[in-house]
Amino acid sequence: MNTKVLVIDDERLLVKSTCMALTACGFETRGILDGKDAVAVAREYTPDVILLDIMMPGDDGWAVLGKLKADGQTRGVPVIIFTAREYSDGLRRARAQGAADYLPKPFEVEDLKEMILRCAAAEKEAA
Amino acid sequence: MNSNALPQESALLDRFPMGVVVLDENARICYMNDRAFGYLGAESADLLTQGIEDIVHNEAFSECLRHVRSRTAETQSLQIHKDGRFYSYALSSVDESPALGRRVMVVIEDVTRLKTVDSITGEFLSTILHRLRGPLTTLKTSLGMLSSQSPEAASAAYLEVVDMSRHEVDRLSAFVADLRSAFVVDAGLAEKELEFEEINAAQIVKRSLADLSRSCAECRDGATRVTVSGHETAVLRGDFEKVKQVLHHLFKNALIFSGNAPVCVTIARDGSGVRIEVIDRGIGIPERDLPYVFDKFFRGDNEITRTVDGNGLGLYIARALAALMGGSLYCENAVDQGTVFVLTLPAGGGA
Repeated sequence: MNTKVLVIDDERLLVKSTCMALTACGFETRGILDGKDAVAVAREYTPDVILLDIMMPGDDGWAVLGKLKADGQTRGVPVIIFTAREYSDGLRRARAQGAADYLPKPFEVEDLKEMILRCAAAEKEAA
Repeated sequence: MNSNALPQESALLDRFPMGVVVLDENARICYMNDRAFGYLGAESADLLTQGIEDIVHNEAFSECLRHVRSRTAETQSLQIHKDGRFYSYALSSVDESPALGRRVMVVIEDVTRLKTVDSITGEFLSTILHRLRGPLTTLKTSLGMLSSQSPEAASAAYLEVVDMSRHEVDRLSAFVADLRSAFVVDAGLAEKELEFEEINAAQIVKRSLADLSRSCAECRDGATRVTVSGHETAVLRGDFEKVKQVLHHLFKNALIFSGNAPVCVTIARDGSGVRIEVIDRGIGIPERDLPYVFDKFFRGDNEITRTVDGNGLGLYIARALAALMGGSLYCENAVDQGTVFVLTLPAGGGA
C-alpha cells in the first residue's frame, strides 16, 4: 500500500503542485487549504505523514500542530513542518513542539520524498 | 549643569541634540547638559550626592567606565534599555591639560526610533521573502516533477504544470512590480517620476477599467459590472500613469470583493478637486481592520483573501501616490453592505 500524505497549506497551487509531485513519486496524497479542518480530515483520511505549513490565516501551523498532537487519534502521525518563513532555529523549534522534521521552502522534491519515507518508517518502527 | 572648566564649549553643548556628561579625572560629574538630565531622569540636586554610576545604575556601563578610566580602552559603547526607551552610550577619554587632567566624556543618544525601524525592516524583509518563496516553491516543485518523469508521464501533466507556472509567474511579476512601487514611494523617489498633465476623469476611469479587464483574470467582467456616472467633463491634474495605477488598485479590490454585484464609480467636482468614488456592495471591511487597510502588506482574513492572490500593497501604494499628486484617498464602510473608496485629486485648469 502506498504511503499516504496529507498536505496542509493555504496556498492552493502549492498544495496542488506538491500533491502532483508526491503522487508522481508513488505516494497517495490529499491536500487541504485550511488548518481548522486538519484534525477532522486527519482522523478520516488516516495519513502516514502530514506536511504542515506554518503561515496560514486563522490557526497558524504551530496551533494546528498542537491540536494534532493533542488529539488521541492523530497524535502519533509524524508531522513535517514546511515553511517559507525564516526560522534560524526551525528544526529545533519544530521538534520542541512535537514535529518529526522541518523543511524550508522551496525544497527539492527528492529531499521531501526521503524525509516522508524516513518519518513513516520511524513511526512504523516505534509502533 | 555648567562647569567653569568648559566655559567656551558649554553654550554649544547645552544645545547639543544628544545628552553630554563630562567626568573629571576622579569620575565626578563636572558637566551635564539638559538633554542628559532628561535621559537619565536626574535632578541637579542628585549631582551633589551621587556619582555617574549611581545615576546610570547599570553594571555594563560601570564596566565600560572602568575600561576607559584605566586606559585599557580609549572608547567604549553600549545600549541601555530604560523606561521603555533605548539609549546608546558612547564613552571616550579626553586628555586635557595638566590642570584639568584626564576626563571622560559620555554621549547619550535616544535610539528608540532606530530600533523600531530596524525591527519593522526585519519584519518586512521576512514578509517579502515569505511571499516570494510560496510561488517559487510551486514553480520548483511542478517543473522539477516534469523534468524527472518519463516523457509519457510528463506529457500528461504538461498542460497543468504550464498553467500553474504561468499563474505563479504572473503572481511573482505583480508582486515585484508592487514592491518596486512601494520602494519608490518609501525612498521619496516617486515625486521625481511624476509628470503632471490635465486628464479627463471619465476617460481615465474607463481606460483603467479596460486595461484591468485585460490584465486581471478576476476582473474580466469589469467592463460590464462597473457603471460610471457623474461629471463627464471634469478634468483633474495628475500623472497619467500614476492615476491609472491608483484606479487600477481601487477597481481591482472593488471587483474582487463584491462577488458578482455591480460596482459604481461616480465622478464629481468637489471644491478645488475632482472626487472619484468607487462603491461596491461586497462584504465590506470589519471595523477591527479599518485602521489598517492602507498599511503595507495588510490583507484581511476572509473567504475571498483566502482564495484570491494579493500582496497587501495596493492600497498602501494608491494612497501614497494620491498624496504625492496633491490629493487624498480614504474609505468608508458598512460591513456586509460594501465599501466606498473616495479618491480626490486636484482639479485641472480646464475643469
